Amino acid sequence: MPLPTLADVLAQLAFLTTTPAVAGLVLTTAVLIVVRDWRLSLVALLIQYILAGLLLTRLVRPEIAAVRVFAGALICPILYLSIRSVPWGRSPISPYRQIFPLGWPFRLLSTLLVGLTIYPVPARYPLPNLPPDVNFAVYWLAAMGVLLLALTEEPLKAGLGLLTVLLAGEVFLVTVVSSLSLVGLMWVVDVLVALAIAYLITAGHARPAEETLA
Amino acid sequence: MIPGPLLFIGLPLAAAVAVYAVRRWNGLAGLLATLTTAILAWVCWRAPLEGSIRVLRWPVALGQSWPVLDQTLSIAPLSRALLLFLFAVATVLFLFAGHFAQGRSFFAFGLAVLGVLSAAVTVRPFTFAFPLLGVAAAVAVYPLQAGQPGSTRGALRFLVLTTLGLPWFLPIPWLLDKNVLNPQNVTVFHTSFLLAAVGFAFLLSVVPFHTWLAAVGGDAPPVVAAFVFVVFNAVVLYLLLTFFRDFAWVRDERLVWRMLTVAGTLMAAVGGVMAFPQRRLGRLLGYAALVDVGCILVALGTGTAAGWTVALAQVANRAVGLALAAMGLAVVRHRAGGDEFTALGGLARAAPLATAGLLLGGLSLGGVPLTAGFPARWALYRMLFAAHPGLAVGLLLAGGGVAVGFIRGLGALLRPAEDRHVEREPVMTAAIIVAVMVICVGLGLYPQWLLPAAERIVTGLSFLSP
Repeated sequence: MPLPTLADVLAQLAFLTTTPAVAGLVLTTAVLIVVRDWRLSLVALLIQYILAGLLLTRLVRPEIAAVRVFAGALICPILYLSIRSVPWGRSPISPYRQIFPLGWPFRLLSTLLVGLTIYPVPARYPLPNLPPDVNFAVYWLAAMGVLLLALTEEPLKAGLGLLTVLLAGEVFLVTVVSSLSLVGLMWVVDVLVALAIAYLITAGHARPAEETLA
Repeated sequence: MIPGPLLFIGLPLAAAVAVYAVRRWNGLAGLLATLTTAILAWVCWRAPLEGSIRVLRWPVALGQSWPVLDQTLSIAPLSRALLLFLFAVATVLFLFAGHFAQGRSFFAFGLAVLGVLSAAVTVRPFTFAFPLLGVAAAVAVYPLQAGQPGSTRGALRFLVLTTLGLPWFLPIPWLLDKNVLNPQNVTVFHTSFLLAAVGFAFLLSVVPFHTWLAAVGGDAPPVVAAFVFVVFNAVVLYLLLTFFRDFAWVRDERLVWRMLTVAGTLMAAVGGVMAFPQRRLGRLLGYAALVDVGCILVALGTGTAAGWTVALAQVANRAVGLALAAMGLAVVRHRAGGDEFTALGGLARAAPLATAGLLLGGLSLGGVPLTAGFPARWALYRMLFAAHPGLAVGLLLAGGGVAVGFIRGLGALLRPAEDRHVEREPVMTAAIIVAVMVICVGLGLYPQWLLPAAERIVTGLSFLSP
């Protein structure tokens, strides 16, 4: 039996490239903000990249969308390995250093509040070249990424926020930037940012005697 | 024949790999890094843009462009001046760090940052410069954090706020291309202008995106912090300048000059107010850098050749002030085990040259007479005083806030020592500090050493009114 091609796979997943993908992105960002567990957060990030890639298949060549997903898929193991290498949760330093002492109800409420605030914006200020649902997804990802950045200074969560904002920008930019090398360079930035975040996670948990990269 | 851009990108990156391999031997790593940047600074200084020069037996054509994929990298007079500045500053900082360790990764990652920034400076079209800036920011995180357990705030804030400034520029060429057939559509220009304004606000650390400066100043090794403050700021200002040069519609937008003035004033005001009550020298250095960038933006906001000359001179002078203050701070922080004012007692007696360097560098950042920071700052005050006396006085007060902050630091350093023995500063370290102090005072007394170069650059920008 021949292996399915990328086009076959995408044809089977076509039902996911519209509203379900946007709904999925809303859920994954909510998980990133509300849930503290790092495993769930990384799974949510991976799903976020896959869903963004599926949305992109409607706007650009499937191969480009596939590379986007691949770059995202590369980021998750980078973060996973760095967390596994530190005594996560057993360190004297709290793994969830926040700007304010926030519990999950506050984070959920913030997500809802920012979500309600951002909801009418995409319709009022639509981005060019984007269908309404993708337009909404870009605004949503950007807003939730910024919210995540505002809520914490812990490298993992802040890093996930930064990567989410970058993903929002890239979903839009892929449709307007004509140079593939420029798009590729942005993805390289994504991976390097993830490596830097991974390093900060490790360094944040290092004990004084431990040697780190630097 | 090696094209100039290939040399300036390839050599630092190749040297970074070699230096990383020997990072455990700080002196050797520092020597290799210093030699690399010194050679590149010399090439920038001596090599003609037309013709070629031999560098370590290889013929190098500085002005020859280097096509990579669908971009071209080339060195023009303006980018050449910037590269000379970047590599000269890096040479001094690497030389110091080779004698007074600033983290094992500084040399290797510092060289890598310089290589990537060289690509950002020479690449055309300019939109490619911004992702490259992101690459450099991600690389700079390692020496900024420097393996200090638990300390991630400064490096993280720098990474976040720099990276958030990048995507705004990328749609601008597309917007402008779309407008070619309908040039009367001003909405496109306004949208592009807005995008660039937000992007530059992030990259220039305009308030409220300035928080990384104090965090980096407080957390990072001082010389690494100075390296990042100087190098990234210079490259972003260069990109701003090329943006003005390449897009006439930006210059024609009156709002842009006002925005530069307002942003600069806000930065200087916040920096001055926050510098005054600081009780940690590192954070004080961060706020001093903020005030200085604010003054540069106000000078650019005048929109005149004289104002831009002042701004460019200020860019060079602040490098001297920042480097000197950072070197002094590095010694003081190491000897005291921290930089809180309460921990500094007795340091002035034990490390007098480091203390003097710290104070002189700080006063230079505050624009005090007889220091490198003074001539450009004084020229700016005089330029502003006729039309905006309040603004001139405000900037003067902001500089005063920085100067008073450092004088308060001196008070803490002069306090009697607690019961502890503090080592004197090493001879070579002290010698480098003294050399930079001489340069700092020299530039304060003889600003004409730098001004002609700044004037030559500005003369090339024909769009500025005299």
